[in-house]
Amino acid sequence: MDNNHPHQHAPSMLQLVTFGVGDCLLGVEIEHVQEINRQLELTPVPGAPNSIRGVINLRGDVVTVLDLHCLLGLTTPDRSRTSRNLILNIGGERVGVLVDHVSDILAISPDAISRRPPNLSQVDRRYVRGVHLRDEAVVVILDSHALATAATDASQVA
Amino acid sequence: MDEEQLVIEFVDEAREHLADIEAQLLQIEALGADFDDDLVNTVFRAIHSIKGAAGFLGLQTINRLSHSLENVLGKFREHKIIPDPYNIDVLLKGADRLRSLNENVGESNDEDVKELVVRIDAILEEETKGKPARNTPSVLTGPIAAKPTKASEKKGKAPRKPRTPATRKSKAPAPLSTDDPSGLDEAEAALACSAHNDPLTDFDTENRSGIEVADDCITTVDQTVHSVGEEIQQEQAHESDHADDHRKATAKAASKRTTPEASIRVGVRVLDRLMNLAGELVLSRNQLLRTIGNSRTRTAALDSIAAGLDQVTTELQETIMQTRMQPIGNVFGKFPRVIRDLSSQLGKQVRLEMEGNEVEVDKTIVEAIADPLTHLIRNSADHGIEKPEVRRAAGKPDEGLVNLRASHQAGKVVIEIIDDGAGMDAATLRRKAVEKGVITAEQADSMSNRESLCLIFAPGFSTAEKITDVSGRGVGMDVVRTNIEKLGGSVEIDSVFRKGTTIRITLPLTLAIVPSMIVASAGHRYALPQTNIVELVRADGQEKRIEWVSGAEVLRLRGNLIPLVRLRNILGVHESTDAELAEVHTDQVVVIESGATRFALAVDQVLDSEEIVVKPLGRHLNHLSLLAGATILGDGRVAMILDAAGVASQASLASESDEADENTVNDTNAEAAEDYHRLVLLSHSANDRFAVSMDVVSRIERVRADQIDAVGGRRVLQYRGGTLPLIGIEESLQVGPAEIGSRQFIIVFQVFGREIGLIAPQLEDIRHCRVDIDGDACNERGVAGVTVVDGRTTRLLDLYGLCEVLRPEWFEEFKKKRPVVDRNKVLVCEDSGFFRSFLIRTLREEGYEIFEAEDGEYGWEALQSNPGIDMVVTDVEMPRLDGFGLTERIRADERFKKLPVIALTSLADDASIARGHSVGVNEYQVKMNKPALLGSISRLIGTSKSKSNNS
Repeated sequence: MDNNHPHQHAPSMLQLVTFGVGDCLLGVEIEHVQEINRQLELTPVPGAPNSIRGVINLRGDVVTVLDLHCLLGLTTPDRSRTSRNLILNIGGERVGVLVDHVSDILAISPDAISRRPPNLSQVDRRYVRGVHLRDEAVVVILDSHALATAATDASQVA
Repeated sequence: MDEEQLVIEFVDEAREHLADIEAQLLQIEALGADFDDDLVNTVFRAIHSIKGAAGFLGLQTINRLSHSLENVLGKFREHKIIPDPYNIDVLLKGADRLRSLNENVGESNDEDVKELVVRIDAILEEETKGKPARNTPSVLTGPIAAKPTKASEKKGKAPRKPRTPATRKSKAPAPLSTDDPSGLDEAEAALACSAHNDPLTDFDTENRSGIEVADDCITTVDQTVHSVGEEIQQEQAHESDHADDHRKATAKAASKRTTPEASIRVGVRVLDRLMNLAGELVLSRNQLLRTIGNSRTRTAALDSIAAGLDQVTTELQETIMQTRMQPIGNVFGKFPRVIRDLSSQLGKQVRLEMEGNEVEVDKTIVEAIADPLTHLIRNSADHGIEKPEVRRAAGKPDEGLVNLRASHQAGKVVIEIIDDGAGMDAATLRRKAVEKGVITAEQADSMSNRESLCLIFAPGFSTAEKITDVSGRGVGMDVVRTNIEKLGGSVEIDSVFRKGTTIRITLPLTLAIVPSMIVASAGHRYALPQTNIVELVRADGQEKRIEWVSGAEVLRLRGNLIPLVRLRNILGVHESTDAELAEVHTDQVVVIESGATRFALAVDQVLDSEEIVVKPLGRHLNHLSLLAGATILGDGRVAMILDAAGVASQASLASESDEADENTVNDTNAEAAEDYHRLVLLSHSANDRFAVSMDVVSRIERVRADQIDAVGGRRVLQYRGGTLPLIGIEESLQVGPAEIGSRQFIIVFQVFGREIGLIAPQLEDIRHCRVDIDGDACNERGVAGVTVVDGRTTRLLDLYGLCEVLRPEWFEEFKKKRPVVDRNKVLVCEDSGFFRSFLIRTLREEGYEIFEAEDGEYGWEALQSNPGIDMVVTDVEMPRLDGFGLTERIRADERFKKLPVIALTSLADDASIARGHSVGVNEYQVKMNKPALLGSISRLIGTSKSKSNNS
């Protein structure tokens, strides 16, 4: 996928699933992505913080779906044909993330990750591991672990 | 690997043995010289098998300690040493030590138990020396009688879980179940004791690996069984010391026992998985049944298959649930020891009585209830039971009694902890709570005694004068309550000062599958556990109705006022403005009980009852107090399970409603009931809010804007093939521009039998409210008065006045028909100033001469002093003398016997109508329905006049 790096599958390479939320291109490590589905019909959870969009039935388990737009302070989009529910599995804990579209899978070397730019706001810094410059675009690499705990923090704040 | 596995199994098994030993030793102690041989045997065998297995595994320390214990128990068994508090104390310490060694089995060999062993061995000397000269016994208290119920006694004798090593080892229940299991115990021990190179060991290992491949192992099992059988004989021959005794005891025990059920050891994880699968199956079944139910192609064959599946699934689910059930005695077992140790530590005499050990509860609940219960038991002994001298002074026996009871009640488990101690003084609790800043002094003043008792559950509240190391452990009663409520249970407290305290815990039987009611609110479905539901009520506006009392909605139900909570408001899930009218108008109410709190939950719809499988919410959501979890409904959608206690606390209802009795009001006696109005609230624009008395409304319709046509400058609604004339507020009153949505509401009422619709651009609510209406604040025609609802100025519309202004022609017809009134005199009795002036104004306009009275008594006086009154129009609910009373007096008096009486009411329920007629009321009229009232007055006066003229 990334022609600059011939050893795509070398263990040191980082594979990212990239997706769009609002105007942002985001990425998470592929090993944390369990599946991508179209389960967009959510059940709202009364009393839950804004950062939680609702829950879904994922084959018999109730999985919390986060609102990245809210967590990262992005504009809330309309649900579209390309919207997907990205199910992350982080250490056995599953969390859904609604994304506007799923883009690509990238393989990059860890060296190609720049540190998070300091102009990110305090809130969303927590969830950002770094950025990767790719051609014209900037891929914001999310910290999956931070995301998994995100809503708990947010709920304490809320 | 094998060795490791063996050690793990040993630890598990030893843990089980040791768990029971404590209770058994205490029972032995309680009975003293008359101890139960079987019980001693059970303990002996348990220690014996620990000793054996420990020896086999090279756990010398455990082996050494259990050997000493076994020796003492052997002497008990031979009645050579009599159990007493002292030696039992030492044995208990031994058992404690064994337990801790067992939990850290890896380091056990490095532990030093010499001192303890010496103490234990010292007991043996009693036999030779007789009763040794002990200084003071280390235990101050008398024996503690753990008085188990019969069922648990039986269980105490027979191993509760007959998972003896032998049965486990062979995994072949059939041949073994007929064998004497106690004999096998011995055999097992013997096997374990034998040297490493013993061929039997090889059998053992072989057999263990064989377990994995069930088919292959049968031969091995047979061999093992055979060998075990041989071993029993050998063992019995070897046991020269007390072989006779033992055999007798064994035989005795065996003869008493029913054949134990064959059992195997199954990992909890496997059970949990099974439970989950059963849950999924239940869901699939629900889905299937629903699909079949909806299907057009249903056939008898399909139905019967579905029914069969349904039945099997239900049974499967129940059976799997059963595997998780454990007797609550597993928790109770440790309390005799807790009480025993506590009482000696505190210098108190406490006797613990337990009932209902055999009551079975889901494993998760048994585990989770242990800590809260321990805390409560400790509290009872520490704070509840007084010191002997205090008790004596209070005329109580020295020995305090703590009664621990478990029982099944209506699908729930109830655990009660009752002590006959000092009890709690509500006033003291209040004072402390104020001192500690838990509540304010004003709150304290308004608190009932029962509420005060609940203060002990408030965070940061502890009643102990000093923090003792017994109860002051940093966990308060608030934690106890939280933990119990987490389990779906509740805790109540009842205490009589100086007499004692009862704490009552109610728990569900299981947490996994919950029979629930599915309700809908704001377009989403929620599950409400049936255990919390008292009843379903549809408010009918009569005996069961929703009212507004001092700023809060209540449900009046059979003379009780129950606080009403609207699920919509609680959930805060706001829905689009395009609300279904049916939902706005909802009167569907679920009466819910949570602990001592009872409240009515208004929902949009009650859908169905379903057995739901509780799915945990992720950690992001599990702190939400409103929710008890989530479930997946038959159609695959997730529904939230509501937590009754959470909903109550969200609505700040907790324990405020427990004075239900005080709230009981007599329907006919409701004070100032007439000041409640059922109002339809509508807004024309943001600043113009109106109310219409619900009593005059025939119905409310929701229409699309395009259904309204203008005909000759007047609006009509195309309606059921005809047209409905419409009037708009803005036609007569000064209002801002209407905020019109795509849909509007039409409030339909009748004027002289003609249906008319009032256009309501925005319908806000229909509710009972207690309002003060100022009839003088507004002189606009069509407005009866002005009031304030929810802090907004609201004009109460007089629909007839409005009609009269806008459509005078309708009234012309009526005026023509009306008989000529020659200043007929009407007495108006009405306590509400607003209605009185409204009636007077209305009637004066019609040319009547009016006498007014504020209540029945004044009315009666007015009748006496103003001869020639032609008619009485009276309110029903009035202070001093109500409308019925007044009518009775009128009818009883020869002078007024034929005087027509119209009763005015907004609560025209059948019972009061019947009562009115029985006392002699001629007609009933609704207060705000002017045309009907006027018609009725002129008709009645006409009849009565013509009658008197005729006579």
